[in-house]
Amino acid sequence: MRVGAKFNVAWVTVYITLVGLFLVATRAIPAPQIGRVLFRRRGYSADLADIALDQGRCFVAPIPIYVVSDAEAVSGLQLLEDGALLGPAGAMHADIREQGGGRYSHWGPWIYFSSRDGSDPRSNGRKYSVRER
Amino acid sequence: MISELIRSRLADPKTGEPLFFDGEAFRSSTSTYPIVNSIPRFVENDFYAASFSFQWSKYQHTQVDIYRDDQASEQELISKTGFTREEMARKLVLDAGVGGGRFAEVVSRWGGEVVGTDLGNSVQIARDLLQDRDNVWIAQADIAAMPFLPETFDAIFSVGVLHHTPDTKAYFRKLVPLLKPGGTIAIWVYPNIGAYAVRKPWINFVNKIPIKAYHDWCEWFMATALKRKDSPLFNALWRSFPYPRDTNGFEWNVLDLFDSYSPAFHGIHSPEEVRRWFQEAGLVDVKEPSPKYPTCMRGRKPLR
Repeated sequence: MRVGAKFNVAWVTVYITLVGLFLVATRAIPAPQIGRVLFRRRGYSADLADIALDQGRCFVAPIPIYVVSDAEAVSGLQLLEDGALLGPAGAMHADIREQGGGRYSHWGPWIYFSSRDGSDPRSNGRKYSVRER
Repeated sequence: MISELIRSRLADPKTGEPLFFDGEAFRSSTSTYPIVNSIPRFVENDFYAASFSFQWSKYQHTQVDIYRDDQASEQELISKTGFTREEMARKLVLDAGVGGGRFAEVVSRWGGEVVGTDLGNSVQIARDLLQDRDNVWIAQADIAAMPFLPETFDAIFSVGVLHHTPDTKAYFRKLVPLLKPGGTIAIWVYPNIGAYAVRKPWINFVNKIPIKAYHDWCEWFMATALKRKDSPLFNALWRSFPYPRDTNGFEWNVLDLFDSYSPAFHGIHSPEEVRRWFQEAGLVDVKEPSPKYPTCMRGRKPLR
């Protein structure tokens, strides 16, 4: 590598690292592991919104990409129905669709889930929320 | 010859009046647009497209099927527009944001009469690539002020371009009047999820780095990251600073990384938003060509 290129790599690395730290500190970008360690950040939690029917008893709702899902590693996301934990987590999507019963899966930027009694979470009057352990 | 056909459809980008060619330049009653290096220039410089001018001069052939000896660009164009060889043959087609010419090359190979425009100096690369094809006409022009009369094109596509303009929707709306009744327009813009959304906050910082220095860094970073594919650190980094991890080759990956963070603008949009633009523009048969790319949309201008 040329000397000039080495110099560019060095200063751009420093610059991008500083920008990254600033963006993590201001929560502008996700940092699922780094941010939680460095800044003692609490895990993600939110009420589910924009719920849509997937198939059968399975519904989907968006989850920010920075929350680590089972597609990349092991999801720490818990699903609650009116404050009560649902499960099992990490269920097969086919089982969620066919059996429901509160099964759910956090996969990529989505949570695939079912209500405990098989009703439609968009109209059954219950609140669905998630929190990261 | 497409050049004769398109000359009769040129209009002054500032006033809309027809342009005439005097053998040296295109002129209206108020303006002159020169031909430089065999390319008509309807803008004075590449304005906010400097990063693209650089990247296409550096990676002229990286994504071009005839140099790669594969159909990567052809497949991508089909997936993102739903256009086919049969649909494009003998049609007058506008590639709005031609870049280095990889999609124009495909449509020209399909038998379409292709007009490729770009704000950037990459038009020179596209022209050099396609100069032997008499069904291609390249010009440097801004989508905000295109040098064509209304209802000129049978089909228009803009793949991966409009989100790099100052206002994605407004620039899309500028294209619609150029479509003939019954013609089809197809676009792909960045979705507002996944890596595209994570990149957005980075853009205003990374695009301040001098282009050459950032490119040196991209080459080093991709080489380092590809060697450490299974590293937990790089997997964590990827979540915060998404970088390409596909298999189109090292050069393509460096190009993608450079392209991802260097542009002046980085719009992200939902599929619903894009669909609404089409509907508001009066287009019909609006549909997503591929479930894989939900912010790809195509629609047809109704016949009168």
